[in-house]
Amino acid sequence: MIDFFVDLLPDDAREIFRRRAQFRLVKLGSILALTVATGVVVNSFVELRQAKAQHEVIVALREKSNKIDKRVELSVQERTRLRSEIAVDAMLRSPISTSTIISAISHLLPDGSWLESMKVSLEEQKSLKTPVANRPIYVVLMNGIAPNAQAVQEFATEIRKTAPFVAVTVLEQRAAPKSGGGSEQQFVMRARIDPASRETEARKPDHSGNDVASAQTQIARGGSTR
Amino acid sequence: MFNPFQSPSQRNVIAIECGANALRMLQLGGNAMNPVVQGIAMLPSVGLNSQQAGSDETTIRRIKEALRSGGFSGRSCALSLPAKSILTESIEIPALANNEMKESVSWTAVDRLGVDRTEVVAGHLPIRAGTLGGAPSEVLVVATLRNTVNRTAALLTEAGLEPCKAELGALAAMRLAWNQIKTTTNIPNFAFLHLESDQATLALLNNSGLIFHRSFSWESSSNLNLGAIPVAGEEDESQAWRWRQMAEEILQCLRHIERRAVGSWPEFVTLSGALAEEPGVASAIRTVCGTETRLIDIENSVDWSKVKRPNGPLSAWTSLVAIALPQTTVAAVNKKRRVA
Repeated sequence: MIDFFVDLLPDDAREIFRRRAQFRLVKLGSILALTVATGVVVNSFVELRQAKAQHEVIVALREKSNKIDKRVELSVQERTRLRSEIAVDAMLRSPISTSTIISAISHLLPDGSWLESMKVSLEEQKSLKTPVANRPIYVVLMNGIAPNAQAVQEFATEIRKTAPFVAVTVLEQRAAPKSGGGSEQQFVMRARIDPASRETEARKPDHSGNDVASAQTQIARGGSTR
Repeated sequence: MFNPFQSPSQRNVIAIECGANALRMLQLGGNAMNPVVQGIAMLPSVGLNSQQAGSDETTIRRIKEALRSGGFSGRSCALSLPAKSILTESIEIPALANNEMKESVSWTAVDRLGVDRTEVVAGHLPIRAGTLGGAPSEVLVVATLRNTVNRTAALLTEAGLEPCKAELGALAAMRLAWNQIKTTTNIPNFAFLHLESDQATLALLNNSGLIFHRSFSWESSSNLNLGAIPVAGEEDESQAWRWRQMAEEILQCLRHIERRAVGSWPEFVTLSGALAEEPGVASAIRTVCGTETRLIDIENSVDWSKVKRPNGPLSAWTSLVAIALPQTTVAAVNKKRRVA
């Protein structure tokens, strides 16, 4: 093939340009390597900083969680305490309110009888086996006047028949002179409140339609309900 | 498209013609089959052959500006050297091996230029092959001073370019003319005339390649009386004298070849170079030599639609187009044309 080509560029000039091209290639390679290295360093720095920030956040969260754990623990303790208090309260609370007891008793008093005093108190049981039965028992101690011995017995019988009273016992009964002449019976009676009884069972209306609340009012005046 | 993995010779280099009075730059793009001019610039009044060229900051600045504004890319460039700065001489030497031929050509150039061996850059083109121990070979010695090329290359380097090759512009233009002619089935005997401002290059070619080469200086326009006013209706005698003198020089060369190879008269003369389209050239050659002339086809060789057409004749860009076209592109274009 005829190309009519004679290259007159001297070899030394060609060598200079070849070296220059190589130098440029090396320079470009160096710049590229430097860029990559810088990128890696910057990326590592950013990653390190992020990791450090995350670590700080985790430490802060851990400290907060410790505080939360302590608060939860305190809350649990408080709840336990409150539960125990509630249990004690439930245990100590009378199943029948005192007003209901008073109204029931005053409703059962025979004619001509009245109570001089009445005391509702707790009595701890030690001999029973089950925990439920270990609950303290409310005891009603009544001191009153009846016109005769039969009225006392009648009153005791009526109480025995009436919930929530159980274990009704006449502790003392004796004749005492009446101020206007004649005699009357002084008695001391004791009855227990059934722990299994409920308020609704005790609040039964009497036959006259008066509820126990009215009876309670009368007994507080010291008079008969009939 | 720019491909960094191609060698500079395969890439679209920036062709730079370092003329005596102007510096032209051209770069081709597109694919190998359809080269497109993508960058073009001309710097008038810039000559790189002066001794002070290497330190001319203004020239460097102008080249840089032209590279920026001319649509050029890359930094690899190829130089087109003017015929005035290149020694071209046909010599006969015994048939030698290739490396010995190179040495012989180099020493011939040293002898002609009268400088040290290290200061010469030389090459050759075969004109007539000889036989070992028999007929001598005829080669065209192409040589120049190393400093001439290095000075130009250094200046372009300062402008940010990297020269990858340098060749004689007339030879590059002749290569393009040859590639255009050889697409025909029968390659005729034809002459090639490359006209620069003060140097003309004549070559005769046939189907075997180059058969004659002569570069001669001719009357520069600076010696003419440019202030003379031609008489109306008459030809400008001063210009006509220039063309006639050149045509007579060509005629002598043709007669010399005719005597050496009987009956070898060129069918036409292909014209290229900055002055190829001057009025009076074709008529002078036709009148004196009796040969028709053809202007080298630059307009259709590449696509000029992407750039603003340069002022002046397109034939002035022949060398640049030839240098900017990669060798593979030329081969591909020829193959395509043959198929068509």
